[in-house]
Formats: sequence, structure tokens, C-alpha cells
Amino acid sequence: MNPEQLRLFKRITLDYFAKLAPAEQPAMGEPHMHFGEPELLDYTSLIEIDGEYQGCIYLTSPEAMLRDVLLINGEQKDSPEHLKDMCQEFSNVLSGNASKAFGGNWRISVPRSLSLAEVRALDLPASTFVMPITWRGQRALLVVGLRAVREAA
Amino acid sequence: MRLLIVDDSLVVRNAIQRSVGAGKISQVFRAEDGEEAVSIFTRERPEMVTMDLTLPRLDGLGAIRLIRSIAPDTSILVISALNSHKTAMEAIALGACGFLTKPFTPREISEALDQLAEHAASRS
Repeated sequence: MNPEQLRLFKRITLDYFAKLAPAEQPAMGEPHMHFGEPELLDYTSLIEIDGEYQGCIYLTSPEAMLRDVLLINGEQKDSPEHLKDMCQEFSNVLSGNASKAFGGNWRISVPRSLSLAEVRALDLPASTFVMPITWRGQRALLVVGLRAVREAA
Repeated sequence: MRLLIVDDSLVVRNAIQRSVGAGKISQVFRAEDGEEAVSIFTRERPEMVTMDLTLPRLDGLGAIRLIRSIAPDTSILVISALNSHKTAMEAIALGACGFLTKPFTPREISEALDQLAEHAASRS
């Protein structure tokens, strides 16, 4: 990850809220290196990345934030199924929207929910960053771990 | 006219269905993956499809290929988080008549569905 890529994911996140909740922009915290025990909140969704870059992006979010994100997406129901689905779709959109900057060879997997044990087992590159997203008083974390293919080879 | 909504997200399927204009679309079908989409399409033959691209089992581009091979005149709107020019061009080359990037507002999806219905009507 380089500063330009970090700015890209920050912009994608801001664009998401600018479109769906234009009066309530999130505060993007300072990105920091991912090390030690991963912090997992109520719901976590992972997208695997393949192509010129390989790795993964995962979003971990408190239930209260997902309930509000459901509302700005027009969804009134907030069952565990809806909350899990919203976390997965949110991670899908943030990952998918990066394709414009990373080029057409940016392939993303379908989202899947993760347990703490599965997050611990991820093979994250040393340059993995954690980006805090604070919105309506709740804090979620976007974790981006990418390596260029030539670096991975 | 009838519409098939294909997306692996329950929230997105619901959002699209809420925006279906009264009177323009008589029936809505829903599928969670590409294989289910092709199965429902084969059975019901709707005139219109909204298609996500990143799907389990069979992806959206694969599903579009199969649907177009069954019914080449089907009007297909791609709705995806993938926003690269290359992806949009691939979908259009396969016969999609439009491309809407996620996230979308209620107004954007409503207008896109109106255009999809007009496209389908012009082919019927």
C-alpha cells in the first residue's frame, strides 16, 4: 500500500456517504499499520482481491452503524440477516469502486463473513493498513492488505 | 412487462424492487446468483433483467451470455460496484443496454429502471 492507494480508499468511502447521506460525512481517522491482535467488531466481511494486486479488504463494523447504513440504503428491517448482508454489501461496494483506479484487471470475490479465527489466519502483507471510519458516533474499520503481483511472486 | 432482479445482496434486491414503478412492471422475480438467474429466466422469460456482476456460482457476465443465448432481445441493466471502463465495456459488448454503479440513490435506480422499461418496450 502506498499513500495514493490510501487516499483512494478514503475518497471511495467519503463518496459512498456523500451519495447516500450527503449531510452527514464520516470522519476518516488516520490510517495505521495493522499489527498484533486484529480488532473485530460486531460484523466483519471480507473481499478477496486478485489480478495485478492480490490480497484482501475487510470491513468490521458495529451493529449500530450497520443499522444506520441500512436506513440510508432505504432498508427498514434490521434483522441479523439484514445486518450481515449490509456489512457484506458495504465491503463489496468499497472494494468494487476501487476498480476504476486499479484498472480493469481488478477482480473481487463475493463477500464472506469472517470469524476472529479466520481473520487471524489471513496472510496479510506487512503493508496492511487499518482505516477508521467514524460516522454518527460509531467507528468501523476498513482493513486493506494488498501486494502487487510481482511483489507476491 | 416483467423484471428479473439478480443480486447476491438482499438489501440491494429490496432497494431495486422498491424502485419498480407502478404500472410499468407487472411482475418481479429475484435471484441470488448467476445459476439461479439463468434457471428463473429460462422458466419465466422476463423481458428485463437487472444483473449484478460479482455473484456466487456463476458470475454476472456468464449469466448475461447464457441469457442472451436464450433470448437475444432481453433488455439487461448491469448494476455493479465494479466501476472500471473495461468492466462496463465488457457488459455492453455482451449486450447489456445500461450500466449503473453502486451505490445508487433511489432516484438513480428509478431513472435507470424507467430507461430499461423503455428499452424493453422498444423491442417488444
